[in-house]
Amino acid sequence: MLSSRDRWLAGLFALQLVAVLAFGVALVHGIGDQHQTVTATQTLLPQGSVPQAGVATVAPSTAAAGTSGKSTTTSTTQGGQAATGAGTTGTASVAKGQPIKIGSIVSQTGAINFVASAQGTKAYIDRVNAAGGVNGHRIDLDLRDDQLDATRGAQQARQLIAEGVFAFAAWNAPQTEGAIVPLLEQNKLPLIGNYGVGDEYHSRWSYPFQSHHFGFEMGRFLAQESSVKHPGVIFTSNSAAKVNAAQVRAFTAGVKAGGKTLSSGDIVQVDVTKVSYDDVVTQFRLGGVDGIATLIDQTAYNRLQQSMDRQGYKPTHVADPLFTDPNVTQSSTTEGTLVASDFAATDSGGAEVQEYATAVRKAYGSSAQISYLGEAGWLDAKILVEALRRMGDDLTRANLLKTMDSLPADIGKGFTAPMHFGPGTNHDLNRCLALTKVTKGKAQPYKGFACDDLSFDR
Amino acid sequence: MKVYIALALGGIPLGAMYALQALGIVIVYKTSKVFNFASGAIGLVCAYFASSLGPGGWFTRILAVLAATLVGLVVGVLMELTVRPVKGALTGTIVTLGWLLTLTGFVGFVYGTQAATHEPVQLAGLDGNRQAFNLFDVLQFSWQQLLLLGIAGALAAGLAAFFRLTDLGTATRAVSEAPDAARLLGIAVDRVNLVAWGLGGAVSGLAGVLVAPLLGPLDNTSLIILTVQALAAALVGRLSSLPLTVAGGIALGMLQPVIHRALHSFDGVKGTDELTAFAVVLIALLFFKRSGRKDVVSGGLTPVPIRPLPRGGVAIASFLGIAVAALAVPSLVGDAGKLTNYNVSQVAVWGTATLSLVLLVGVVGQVSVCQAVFMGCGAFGAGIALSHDVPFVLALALGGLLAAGVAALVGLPAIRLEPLELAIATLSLSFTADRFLYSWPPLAGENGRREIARPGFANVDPGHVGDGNRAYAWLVLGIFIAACFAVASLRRGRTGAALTALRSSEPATAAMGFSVTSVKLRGFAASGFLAGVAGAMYGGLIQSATGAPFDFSRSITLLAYAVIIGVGSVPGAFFGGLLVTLTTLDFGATNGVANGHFVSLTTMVTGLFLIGVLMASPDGIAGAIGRLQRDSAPEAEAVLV
Amino acid sequence: MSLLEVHALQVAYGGVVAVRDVSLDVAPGQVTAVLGANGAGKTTTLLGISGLVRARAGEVLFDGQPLLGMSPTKIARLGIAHVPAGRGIFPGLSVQDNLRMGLYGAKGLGAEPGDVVEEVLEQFPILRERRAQPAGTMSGGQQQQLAIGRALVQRPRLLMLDEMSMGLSPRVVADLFVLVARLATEGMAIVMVEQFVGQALKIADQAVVIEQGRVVASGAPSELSAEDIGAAYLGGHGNAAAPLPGAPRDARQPVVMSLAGVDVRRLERKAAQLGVSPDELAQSLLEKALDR
Repeated sequence: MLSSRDRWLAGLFALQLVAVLAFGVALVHGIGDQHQTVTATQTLLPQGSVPQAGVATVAPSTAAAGTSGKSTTTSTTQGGQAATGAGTTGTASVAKGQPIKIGSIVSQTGAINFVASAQGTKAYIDRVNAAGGVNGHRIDLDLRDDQLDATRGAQQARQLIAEGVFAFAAWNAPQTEGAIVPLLEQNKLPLIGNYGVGDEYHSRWSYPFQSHHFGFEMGRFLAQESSVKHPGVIFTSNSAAKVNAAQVRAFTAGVKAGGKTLSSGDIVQVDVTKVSYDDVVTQFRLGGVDGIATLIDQTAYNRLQQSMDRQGYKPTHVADPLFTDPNVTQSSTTEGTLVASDFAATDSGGAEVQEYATAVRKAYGSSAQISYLGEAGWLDAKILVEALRRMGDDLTRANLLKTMDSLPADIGKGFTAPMHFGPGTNHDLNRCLALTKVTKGKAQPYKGFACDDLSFDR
Repeated sequence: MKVYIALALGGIPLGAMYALQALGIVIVYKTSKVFNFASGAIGLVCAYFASSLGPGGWFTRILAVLAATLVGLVVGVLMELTVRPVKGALTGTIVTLGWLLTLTGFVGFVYGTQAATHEPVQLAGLDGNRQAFNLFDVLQFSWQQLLLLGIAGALAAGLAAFFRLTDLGTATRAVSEAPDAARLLGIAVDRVNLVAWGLGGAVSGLAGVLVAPLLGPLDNTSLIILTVQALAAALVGRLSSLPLTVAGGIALGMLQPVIHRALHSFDGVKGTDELTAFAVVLIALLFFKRSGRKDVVSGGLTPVPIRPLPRGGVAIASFLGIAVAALAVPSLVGDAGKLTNYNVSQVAVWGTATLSLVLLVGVVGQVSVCQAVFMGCGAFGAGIALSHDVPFVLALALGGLLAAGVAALVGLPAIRLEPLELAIATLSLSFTADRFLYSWPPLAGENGRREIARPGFANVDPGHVGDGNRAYAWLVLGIFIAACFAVASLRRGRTGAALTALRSSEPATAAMGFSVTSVKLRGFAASGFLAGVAGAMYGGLIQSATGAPFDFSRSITLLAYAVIIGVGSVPGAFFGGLLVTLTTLDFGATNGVANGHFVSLTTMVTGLFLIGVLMASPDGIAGAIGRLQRDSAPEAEAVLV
Repeated sequence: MSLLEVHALQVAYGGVVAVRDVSLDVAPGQVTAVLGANGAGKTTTLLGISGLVRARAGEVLFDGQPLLGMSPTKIARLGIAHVPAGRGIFPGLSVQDNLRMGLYGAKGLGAEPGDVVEEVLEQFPILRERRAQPAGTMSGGQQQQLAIGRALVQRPRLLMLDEMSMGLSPRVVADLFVLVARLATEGMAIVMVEQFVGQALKIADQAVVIEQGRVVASGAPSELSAEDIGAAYLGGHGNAAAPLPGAPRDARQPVVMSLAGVDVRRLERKAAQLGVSPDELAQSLLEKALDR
């Protein structure tokens, strides 16, 4: 039954497989080596821009990478085993004088634009390194762009671990974050500062500083406005039904605490891809809703605003901090909108906020993006560095957790209300929002931080 | 209730948006029976192009719109040139899928992928968003919306007149129904096609430019997502009647807000807009009949038969050798560095996913643009099983079974649909699943995520600390290899013979006592099972089941890679897995190419490859290699008495 | 003096050679009947002449002009009208529009508009009645008339008809043959591929019998022997596999194939060469697989 053709086919089949395997390995290895030097600088600039002369760069760490054996940061060995201690669990500790490797993932390109966050983080870390690092340790920031692709992000997270990061910090990657909590737990890897998705608010290893539920405070603020008699709510629905239900409860309770009533028919959940907000506006307008609280994204705000202009609908409006993002078109019709934020407004925040803005502008010049998300990125880095500073020479992950839990309540000074993690598993700590009012296109202070103590069931 | 009326009326401009996009699709289909999946992408390119011409007075704006429409015309003509040498409407449609990727990647590459960096050109001017009129508080349109409505109506009427009354228009209809007969009459079919595609491209482009300002600052995805609704509108118009298409679009636009409001009290229901569109697509596909096409000289996408694994001792030995070599890889590869066992596992996972497509498209002959949905079901299914303390490997299988069930459900209407129609339906399903299915609590859990723990893997793996990555790589590699073997062996035996006969002639298969329905359904189920297992394996890899990795763009790229490599090739599945893995690797900022650009470039190159491969060799690279092998191999023996 | 000369025509679809060596001459006003079994290569011969399928070798001269390599559109405009098997009408278009398309295609001929369509409608009163009706809703006979009428709109010099009588009632067929005969007397050259051998031979000036892609007999009807004609149906010149159209299944020879690990596509091609239809191939494969 054997024919020469069969033999030839079998040989070709085998050859194909082997060739591709070899090619793949070679490709990955060949490209991989260049990765280390350029990541930190080039992923942060907005599309199409040319590196500015003023960009503060981290000196490439290739020299340092190969020196020590124990606290190795990267293993570019050809497919071999990782150096001791690194492997899949990353570096659980950092030896004296060695750089502290931090891994960060931010969705910079793709359908959303969180470049500001990356800029904020990078600017802060660069400043710290320029001043000699923290306790003599330089911080090596490896910042990746997951491009809003969960598959890529998952891959990047594992790569960061494999390359021996000490901890994760300053993440703003909604799609990727949905699935990484098991990764944190398994590798006993802390994540200091993230966007905050689902289980991240309950994990021992995750420390989100952005608020989980805006609903209560926004509802209360809205109800407290005297111009509002009939409130309504719009928020983007999540893939987690529990979170949506909790948000509904939060809004309802908040409005009630402010002395008014929110009926369930006036709560509208929208999909992130919603094309036109005409129907929502029609519904509210005809229903007599005179005050709305909205928790949506920049694109949605543009569309909502368009619909409101079209239909001549001008209720009292309490929006979330993305409302003042540079990507949301401001005009005469957005005047007077109230913005509830868990961070101080970029336009009118105190000295701390101005320090952030100045540093980023200096670092990125005309391509600097100053926004709420940038503040988040900056603050994430700042809190991390503060914790590291307090750890002194005992740079282990266990100590990092301990230190985070015992940080004083004013760690977010100038940005947020006092917040304190404390031991235990409740990592949903930021429950305070402040209100600003959009005046002449800028957010001016309106009401100080108000916090809720009720624990809403997830 | 007044509110419902207002909602419905307020949805008219929305519907006009859909209708305008749909017109471009219908014009092309009317002539060449090819479904232009890239219609939305043409609109995207033109919208960005117009915006790059800058804001300005009314004269500048009109010029920008006209120039953008011209761009659309050019793109349409280029598309016709790539579709012309391709045999069969289905293959032509996949070519347009390649154009979708190319154009989207192009826009991302040239204009950047960050959202809201470009302001669209608003033909009605800066005040275009002001209210134009207000009827009883119930009907309110802005100038831009009125303009949209007016142009949509005028276009539909004008084009309908063109097709019905003019010679050229009648010729386009004639060419679509019987192109060879038209040739025999002396009609320059190629020129007619060029005109139609150019016209279709121009309309799609114009649609993009007019619709964009209503969506806010430009971004890469909104116009593409509108495609599903445009699809629905086009199908209501039976893909031939332009006025009916406009009516269908407007009806859909009016229906969506009403349904959204009606269902708002049901918490678990998300994505009602896409669901509504999908329902319309299904109903239109199943109940609105479209005219077919008669070719004198036949040509179509004949599914490529899978080359059987060679028989004999040498073949078995080499196969075993490959299997052993493959299984040795995880030992060679560590968990650190650029290539880790994670990547190896990825290759196996996506390889299995590609294999499922090979089975469905190559063997059964059905086209699915929703394979990632089956993967998602498999991942969630495994999560559900694991939450009931089912052993890990069994949980993988159960996930696969759930996916198989879903696939069979999808396959049911497939019996009545031609492959092209099935492609349309499955694409709509992808969009819908992204919104609705992946946040449906019974499937995705209360948190939209299911835990996929894999305890004990570290224990199984001697001498290897960590979370058992190597052992896991062995497992998934083993499953992948076994699956390849199984699919390749399908050629032999009853099922294989039935499937082969099915492709040759359905009546003969039926005459032999095989139920055609049953064979097709089983094919779907088997393909779904494989995809589900792949999804479950991915879930095990990242230890989470979420919907995010299994979105519509993943479905499209899976199909693209499978076709490029060749749906008839089982070894090709490995290449498919490798391609997906390589493109999701993080290359950092290599050689000065920043990340966003890299992804757009990849997308564009994939699209171009897809187009090129289909033009040169419809059964992909593997097919071309196969033909090379066959042509140079000695004559095989066939004994015919 | 021949209007159409075909020498040693060879036409292939991919790897399958359907027409191996066909030659014929047609003069104006002459009716040529092309006979043969299913799959013998009759239709392919016509397709090769009209250019829809590219010929591999041979020569076709129309009024002295070589046709091979020319696009079907150009060939049609030279004055050759090919009414394909299955009629090739545009079902969604009205009768009027179908005829208009004939005119549209003949633009290059400089045909006069308007009147021509009316003239043709004169010849086919049934079509005139239904001029606004979608062509797909008409009966087979009416569609055939439409197809011929559409060809006539172009005032062709050569008219090629493929299986004109397929699926039509005898009465309708008779009328059509009368029409064809009349056209010939008016000077049109006609080539008709036919299954109705008797009727065809009645009006034909010459007949050509094709088998397995070759001409096995030709000449005036009176010159052809009964065996030649019989062979056209039974394919009796050495091939047992050609089926008799309409004959009961068991009258045919069984077709047995060995599967010997062979590529099915290659099998299909071989089968096509031998005139075995895909249906039969599929059936045999199944039978083999099920060991019945």
